Amino acid sequence: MFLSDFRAFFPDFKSFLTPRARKLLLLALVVFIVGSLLIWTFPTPEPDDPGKDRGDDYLFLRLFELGGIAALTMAVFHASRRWKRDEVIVFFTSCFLYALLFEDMNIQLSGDYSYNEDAWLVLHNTMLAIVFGWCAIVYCIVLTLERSPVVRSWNPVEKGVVAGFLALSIDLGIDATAFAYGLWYWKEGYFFGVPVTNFVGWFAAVFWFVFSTEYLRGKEREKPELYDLKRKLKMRIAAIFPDYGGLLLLVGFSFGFLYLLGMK
Amino acid sequence: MMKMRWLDRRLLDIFDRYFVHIFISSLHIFFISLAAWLDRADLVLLGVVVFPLSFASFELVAMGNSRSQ
Repeated sequence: MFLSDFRAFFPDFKSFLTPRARKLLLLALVVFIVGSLLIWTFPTPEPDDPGKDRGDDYLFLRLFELGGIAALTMAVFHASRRWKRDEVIVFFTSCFLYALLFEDMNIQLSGDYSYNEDAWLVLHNTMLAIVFGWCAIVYCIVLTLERSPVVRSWNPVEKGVVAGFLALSIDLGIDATAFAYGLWYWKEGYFFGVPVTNFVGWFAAVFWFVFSTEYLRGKEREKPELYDLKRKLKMRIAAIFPDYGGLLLLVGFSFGFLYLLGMK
Repeated sequence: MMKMRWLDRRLLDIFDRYFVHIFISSLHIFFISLAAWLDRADLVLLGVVVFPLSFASFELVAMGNSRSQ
């Protein structure tokens, strides 16, 4: 099912594996292996009593939620000044659904983490501020790729890898603090209590979203007369599902690798 | 009135141009402040190290690398 979906959406995937794309993918693999080994070799302190009420009436949680709403609002406003209306609708709808399904599926299937239950805005298992933040972060990344005089002409796989690294550069500094405060909770992990698979997941999720978005945007640019708003929306949302297949494979491989090292 | 319009235009121009910088910086500063409030010097240090690295990564990609052109 996944392979046929994938082939239907990305028939020319092999042509994207240019020498530069291969080098970038290899670099990502090396970064993850070396990073995992470093984290394993030099253990960092885990947060003390992560579920504890910090005595601030969750002020930082509220600020985080309000910040998420503000970030998404500003990102949509910014995008509407730069992109056509259709692109704004299609991008943010697909990104929102992708992030929501991704987070919810992860919590449901892996059970490795959960969000603070005192959050105001929650949908099923997922804190909505995370999904809003996700959309704003991915928009910033896509905007940066678009503005770059060099990267903007690269193919979707190459852009996806660069996007994955940019996303990782943000998450590396914030995840541990969020866990220490209790915005969300990890069951176990080595990097200040955060598991390495979280970083692999971040990289992979952003890689697949940017890859599919850039690929479909390229197709839309080639023959704009074929793509009205409804069709664009359908394509982008449908592209989420092959993404999940790829994501599961990638995360599955990393889990396997880390289990082999005995350091999930 | 003219002054207000000029100010609006100027603010919008700054917003258009520096949205990514403002967002990334706010996010990191929020979490560094949170780490400081938690009295976790190690997490403050992590944030202080990662913030400029993250900022520089975005800047490097945005500027491009003339060697690979």
